[in-house]
Amino acid sequence: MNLAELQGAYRDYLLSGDSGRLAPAIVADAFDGAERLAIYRNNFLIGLGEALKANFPVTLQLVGRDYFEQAAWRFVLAHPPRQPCLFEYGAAFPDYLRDLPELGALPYVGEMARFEFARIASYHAPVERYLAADALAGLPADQLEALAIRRARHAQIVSVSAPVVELWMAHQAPEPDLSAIDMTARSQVLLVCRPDQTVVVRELAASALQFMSAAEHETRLGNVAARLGADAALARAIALALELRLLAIL
Amino acid sequence: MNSVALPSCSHLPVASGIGLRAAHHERVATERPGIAWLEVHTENFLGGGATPALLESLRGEYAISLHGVGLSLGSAEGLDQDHLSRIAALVRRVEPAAVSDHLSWSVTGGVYFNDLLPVPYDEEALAAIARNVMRFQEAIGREVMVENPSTYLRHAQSDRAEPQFLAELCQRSGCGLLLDVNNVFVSAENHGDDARAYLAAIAPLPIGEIHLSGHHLRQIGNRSIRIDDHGSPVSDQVWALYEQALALIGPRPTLVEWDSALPPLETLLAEADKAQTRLDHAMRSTA
Repeated sequence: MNLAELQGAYRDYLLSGDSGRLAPAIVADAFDGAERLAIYRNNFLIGLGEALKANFPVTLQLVGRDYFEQAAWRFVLAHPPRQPCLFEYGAAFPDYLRDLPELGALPYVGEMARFEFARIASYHAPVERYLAADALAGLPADQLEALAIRRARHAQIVSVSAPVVELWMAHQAPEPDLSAIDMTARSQVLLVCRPDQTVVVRELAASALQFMSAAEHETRLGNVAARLGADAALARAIALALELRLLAIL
Repeated sequence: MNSVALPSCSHLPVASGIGLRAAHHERVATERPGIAWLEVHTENFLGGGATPALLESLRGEYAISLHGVGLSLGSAEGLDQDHLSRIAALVRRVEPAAVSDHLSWSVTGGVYFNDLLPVPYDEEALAAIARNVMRFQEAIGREVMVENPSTYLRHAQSDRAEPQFLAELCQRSGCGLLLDVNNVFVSAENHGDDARAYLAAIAPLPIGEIHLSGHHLRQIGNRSIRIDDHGSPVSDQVWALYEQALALIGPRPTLVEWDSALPPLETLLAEADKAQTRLDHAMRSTA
């Protein structure tokens, strides 16, 4: 096999576990080719399972280590990484967990995973040039309205119905106490952002959500403001955006 | 600072360093332990947020080594341009004392296996890897080091030994070598080879850094195989081999790596002290 064919055979083996095509390319001695290859497949699954544990630490605690590992290894085979940085791995894991039949009665598991992935995405998002209060004050109204902006990459929005923030907070303790958490479903929209070095979480009011949604793609500041109308809700949304550096200037 | 002349691939201090992992970021950032240099896994710092800022804040006090685990120098399909650009941007930002990756591959057809998969030691692989290493070096504007891997198998199509393959790679691409002494031991044991003969063969190459770490012995029936998991102290046999390496090669910047079952920072620093004692001895011998 040439190098590309050999690597293609590895890919097929690692994802399927069938070493029929690759084993003959491996020197057999005290261990045969399939046994030696199995060490690599084991390392591949364990390594990516550990990466998912690192990205979803509270989700791991919610379902327990044994269940998490089984689910993670199945996920790895179905959705292997498409990028080299492991902190970017697992975007599809929350939906994968949500759709597992045995977790159907625990909808907060998938929501927690979504919240944890938003935290990581926010933490690693690029630093941009943010709209700041002094820029607003220094510009005439027409230029202000024409300012090209977009929601900052670190500003993630997550809709949940379970008390994931309370659950997450409780699991930061070595021995989580969940007795005081009211698990009754209550729809909430969470803003997960990183204005400086630390991730911050806030519940978003409907008007602020409308404001942030209007700025999801590149637009003019005037267009975003027009969605809310000039009232107290707009002022509050802009104040939040300035405080948490939620708008990037393009 | 260095009284030992290192090959041009390495600007690290000739002292012991530790691998910096996420669980220790906060303590290292605030307590600033007394250690000459820190090595990080490059791919963990390619985000744009708080992690590269941490390296910027540490680089005034510590020499920094960027050690890649995902560029996949052994890929037949060449390097991922986007990944390469992100590494180049981090190198510009951090100005590390050393940049390295592995003699292995991890990507094919857009799937990233996150493992250091083995390459066959033949002419086609050598040409592909030399091409990839040269492209890496062009992208970041400096020489890199390539690390010898722990291997658990050999390819039937290999037609030369690993030291010879590495020597040809250094010669063709102008790269240096990151000598992982634990990997030398693990591979030699797993294939019934002579680790000391490997060191002797590799000693003339431009070695700019040494790695030390722990491994474990896995029993499979009545047979055993050594697995490189960076999850335990450096074994006595690897310390002995390290002393042999220092005698053959001379003192080199030496890193203690620990990844799985990461112990407290103090344990890592104590392991680095053990390496420093041996380095001090080697420096006196060469003085």
